[in-house]
Amino acid sequence: MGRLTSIIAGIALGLMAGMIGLLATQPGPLALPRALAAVLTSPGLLENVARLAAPIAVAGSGLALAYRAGFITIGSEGQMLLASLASLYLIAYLDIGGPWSLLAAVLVGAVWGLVPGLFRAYAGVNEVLSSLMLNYIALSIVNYLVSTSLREGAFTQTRFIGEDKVLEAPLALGIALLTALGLEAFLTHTIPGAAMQAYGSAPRMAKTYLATSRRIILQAALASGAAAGLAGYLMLTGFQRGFTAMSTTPGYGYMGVLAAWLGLRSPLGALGAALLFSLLATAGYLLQPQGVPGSMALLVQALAVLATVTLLSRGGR
Amino acid sequence: MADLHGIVVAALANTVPLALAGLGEALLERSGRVNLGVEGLMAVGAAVGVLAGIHLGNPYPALVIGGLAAALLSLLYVIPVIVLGADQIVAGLALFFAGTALADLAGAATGGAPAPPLVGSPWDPVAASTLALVVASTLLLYRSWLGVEIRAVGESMEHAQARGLRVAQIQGGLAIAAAFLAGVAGAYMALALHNGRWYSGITAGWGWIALGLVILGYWSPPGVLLASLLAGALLSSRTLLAAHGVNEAIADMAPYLAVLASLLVMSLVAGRRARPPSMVWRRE
Repeated sequence: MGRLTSIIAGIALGLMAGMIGLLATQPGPLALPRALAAVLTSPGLLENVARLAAPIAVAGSGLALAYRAGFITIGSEGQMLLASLASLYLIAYLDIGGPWSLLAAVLVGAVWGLVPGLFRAYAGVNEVLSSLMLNYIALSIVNYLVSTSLREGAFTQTRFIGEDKVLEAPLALGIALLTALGLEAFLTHTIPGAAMQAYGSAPRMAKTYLATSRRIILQAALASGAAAGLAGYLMLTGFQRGFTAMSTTPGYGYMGVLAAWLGLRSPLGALGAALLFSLLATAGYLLQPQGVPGSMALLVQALAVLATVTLLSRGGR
Repeated sequence: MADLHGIVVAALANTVPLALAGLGEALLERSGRVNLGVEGLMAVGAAVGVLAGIHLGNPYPALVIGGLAAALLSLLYVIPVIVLGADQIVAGLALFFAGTALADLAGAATGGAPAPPLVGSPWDPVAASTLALVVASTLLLYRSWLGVEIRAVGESMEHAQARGLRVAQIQGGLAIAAAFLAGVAGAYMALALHNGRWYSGITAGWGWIALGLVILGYWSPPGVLLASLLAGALLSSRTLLAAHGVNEAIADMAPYLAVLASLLVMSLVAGRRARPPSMVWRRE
């Protein structure tokens, strides 16, 4: 099957599985298309979709680049978390907003993202596992800071950024589009980008571009970390606004992982997948009061990715 | 000293799920496949195990049902990857997310009610079976024809296929068996370590830790058991740290840091000399 057909069929299969899952709930399978239609026809809800899609798209774009280079990190979750805490600190505690808080987030994301890259490049540690461990470590760090130095008031929570500091939806989506376009151009039109792609598919070919595997791994780690950092900023200023103590991570970085794969490891593809995912997630929120668990959206996303990848692997032979 | 005794018991109880999940994955990886979805399989095992426990009133069949649910879910890995040839890394990740989501769906049906808990003691039948499994799988791997076949497939699928070995059956069977063990591990976490209660995120990354333990235990069943004992002890040190006034969030972090550090040390020390099954975690 062709690429586009595979993706469309994969998404359709994911949605069908979701509707079958809804058979077990009160509102029934038709609730899903109804909720999707409700989101698509409401300007207010579409604004939420855009705000949610922006960080997922940005994280997914960076991950797409890393996956092209064969660096299978899933650390975007922890990188986003720490990055958005950094920009929260600047905005709500130091009253430094705008570009500086964005820059701080990118830096923190890049540094945290570099760790599994260093581990892989210099010690050969598998990045899937190391980046996952770092997600849990990041969660602990955030919980620690939320319960100690950043704690505000009677409850275990931080300050929240004011309504006036919340990012406009079109601006958030614009940043996401620019990031995806930039990364796409980097991959296809620059020599380091070509080296990355070559390394991912055939490691020895990268030598043609005079790039060492160490440098490519570190570049991929740094770039995906920086993107996750930006995603963390977009998450905070888009809808998160502050933190309470958490038992699990919010999961938007993981959605970025799925978006990168559904987008066939292309930054622009990840943006498209992110839009679809946030549409699904928003429809999921609408269904929650009717007794549909919020995880339904994640299930549909995961199955769509699985189906797409499977269909593609058949088409490729 | 009662304190120390409690910690040792907790450490051994923590070892059981880690060893079960790690053992299954180690066997699967010996056949040349990696399933990154262990965490999702454990989550489903935990949720379905608690549900079954509530309905049956007995934790032991609930463990088995949790395992069966995970084995069923693993078809989402087996069919795309082993039958249809999809990428095992992506499929494993998708399984992780699908499992997490399905567990939340099944777990919501418990309504927070507890199942009859399994009284965790190092001498319970589950711990004894875990030990027996380590012995049995060691014998299987190194002292049986099937074991030779499994390892041959893990070294080179193409050559094994050319020799007439049933590659797909071996890998598929091991993937389903490994998923069953991961499901039992998850159910054990809920029923024995969390007093029969389910909550979202209950598996707390232990499935990922188990994947790391396979590497630390160097793909051998006794090695995985040893690594699980160490990790189990580390995970139980959390209460000790908290008792000594260490911030809870920092104490939570300790086991993940330790696994990360030991992966680093392991890779630096053994990375050059010793060798994993060649079809696994393949690098340039």
